[in-house]
Amino acid sequence: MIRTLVVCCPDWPVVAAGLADRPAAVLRGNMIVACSPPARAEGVRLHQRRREAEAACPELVFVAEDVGRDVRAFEPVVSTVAGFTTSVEVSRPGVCSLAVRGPARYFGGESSLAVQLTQAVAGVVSPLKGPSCWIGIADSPFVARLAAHVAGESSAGAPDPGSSTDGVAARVLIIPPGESATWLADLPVGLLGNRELADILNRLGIRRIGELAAMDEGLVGGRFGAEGLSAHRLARGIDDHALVPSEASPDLTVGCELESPIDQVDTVAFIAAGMAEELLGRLAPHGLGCTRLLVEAATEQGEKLSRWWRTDWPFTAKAMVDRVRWQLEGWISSPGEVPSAGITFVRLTAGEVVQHYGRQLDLFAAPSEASRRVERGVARIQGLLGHASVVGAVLAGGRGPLEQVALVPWGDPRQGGGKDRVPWPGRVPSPAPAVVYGEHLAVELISAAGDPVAVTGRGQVSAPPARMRRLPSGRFAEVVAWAGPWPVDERWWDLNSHRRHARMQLLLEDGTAHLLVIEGGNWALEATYD
Amino acid sequence: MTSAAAAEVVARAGRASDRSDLQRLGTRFRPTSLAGEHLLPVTAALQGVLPVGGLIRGSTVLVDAQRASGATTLALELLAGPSLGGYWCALAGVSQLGCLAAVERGIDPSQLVIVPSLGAADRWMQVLATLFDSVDAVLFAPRTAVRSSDARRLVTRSRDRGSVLVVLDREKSWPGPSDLHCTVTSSVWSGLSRGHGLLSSRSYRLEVSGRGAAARPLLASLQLPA
Repeated sequence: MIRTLVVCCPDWPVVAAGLADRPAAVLRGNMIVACSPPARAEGVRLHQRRREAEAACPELVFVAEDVGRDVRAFEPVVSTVAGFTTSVEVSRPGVCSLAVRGPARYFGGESSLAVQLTQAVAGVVSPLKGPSCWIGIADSPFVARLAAHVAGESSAGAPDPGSSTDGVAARVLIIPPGESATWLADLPVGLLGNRELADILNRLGIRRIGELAAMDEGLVGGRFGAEGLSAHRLARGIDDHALVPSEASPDLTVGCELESPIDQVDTVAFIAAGMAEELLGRLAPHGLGCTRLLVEAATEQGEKLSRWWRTDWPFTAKAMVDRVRWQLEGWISSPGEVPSAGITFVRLTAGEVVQHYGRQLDLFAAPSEASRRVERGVARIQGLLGHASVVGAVLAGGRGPLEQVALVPWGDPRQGGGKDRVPWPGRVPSPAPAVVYGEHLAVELISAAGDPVAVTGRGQVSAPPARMRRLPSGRFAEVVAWAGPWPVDERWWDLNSHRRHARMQLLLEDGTAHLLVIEGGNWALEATYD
Repeated sequence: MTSAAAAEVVARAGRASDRSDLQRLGTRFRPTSLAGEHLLPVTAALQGVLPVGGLIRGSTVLVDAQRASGATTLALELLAGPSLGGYWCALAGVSQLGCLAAVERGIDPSQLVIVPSLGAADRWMQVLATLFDSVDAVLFAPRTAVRSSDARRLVTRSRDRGSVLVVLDREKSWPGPSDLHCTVTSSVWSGLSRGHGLLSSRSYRLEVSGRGAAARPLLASLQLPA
């Protein structure tokens, strides 16, 4: 067992967004994933839906979840903690851990180390108006994290740590060596971190961690499988993911010297993707997965940044690449030493390997060979041209030809789809135009008498259109047939996005058909039925 | 023998009365003469127009228009068949293409990769080559003139990978070879009048030429949307 100290900065996503001092919440889709202390005081809770949160606190400010932003903001905290010891691990933005034995001896005991750490972190966090950090010390990272959490929860209302050491002490919880299981026994099973499992256990009448720990391991394994076994081990105070401050064997390292320095994070991430695949490829034949990853990067000028990253489930290649991307982005945007040249060296090291039983994929959701082939190809193109260069189409609601299809960068979640195909009065009729101009091309539309054609407030043309030409210097073409105008008055409830226009179909003498739009008295070519 | 017989009927095709003959012939011959995996399906409207009643894997189809509009819709229709059959499609270099029209023609948006802009001159060949590796049919709309050496390399690459390349050539920028060449010679809209009606359907006249079964050019007519 390696004594572990966990530093937990509460509500980190809100702090990273710079909104910690007012009612604010971070949204994933429609769900609250983090909220600031003022918002919590108003009754906003995690996993609430947006509307419920708004009902509880009308002045709530929302921001979308952005893990990259969280990591970038967390980088100064990690550097501060790294000032105390060499082996800092980042579990996720807002939480990092370190092996406590050496630093505790140097800084005068565990509680003294915790106090000094709290004060140092407060120095970084307070400019962001974030609340003070919580610290837990225990025999394993999991118990230490829980201890930090419990210390934080119980310290609500304690004095500010800036003003008194009592405040600091209230935010630190130290579980003495060997007492992890005893301490855990009284806590609810929900804290084991697996919500689905906790739900089932609660319904079975197993509400305390101690009750789960008292059960027979074989029976738990038989009923709940690998997830149940790992929860049972945690309940007994055994953590599979101990901090191991040893050197990794060279087999578990994939490094890459780059011939020319790279100054784009996307490009490095692309290279890292290949390295991550290779690293996992070495582990997979042994049935191993990696839960702790060391990412090292160096620039042409010799500056180096290395960070440990940890997850509860073994890293996938994509998760590894995300860590590389976050680390580099954090490095670039950190207030301290910023890399002054391009990246010339990247190395990934699997710091801790565990038996990887894998996750049973859904039989029907399993990707086919064809879609895997497409994913590989798309990843390669995105590496060449950038993430947003490859898009997928999603049907969306709207009236114009451009609004009805949303183009989403490949790999981003596709929202919308079927349920948005409700009737939209005033929608451009089918068939849809095959060529849609991104920006409207100005045209002139005149009547037989040579007057400009206008659309009245009642949605009528002032005179039948007779000829059309492209501005500024096109030739007039006869209008053979036409239909419309179809007036559209969109978003009249919003001053900024209010839009009033009308569309017409025109067939010209040369056989081409076009979709025209008039807005503010000016005609424009929106699309062509090519 | 089968291809000769097919060519015989194809030569007479274009008239609606012969299309049923061709379809019957097509269904009768396909299992024996053409392995299903070498032919991507096409929509019913196009079955009578294409010489073998499908898109041959690895072939290049050039779509353009002679003083007529409608090439884009025809190119989308060519892709719709494979997409309806569950194959993956890609649209490359088509920043002005109406994706709604693609979906309406029957292309499944969940199996469609779109690369709106192909990037700089040294990249686009690589991007297209990657698309050939990944998807079954690629619609490519060159915006500037393509060098004939590049065109030849693309055609070879798509043949290697068994992916159909549909080139939508609006500006006469494709110099190179094609296995099948569909030219829209005229297209007439119906449904729209002076002040009423809606654009509803368009009757096409096509000239289809090429190699192999399509060596003898044929004239065909077709209604889109059918």
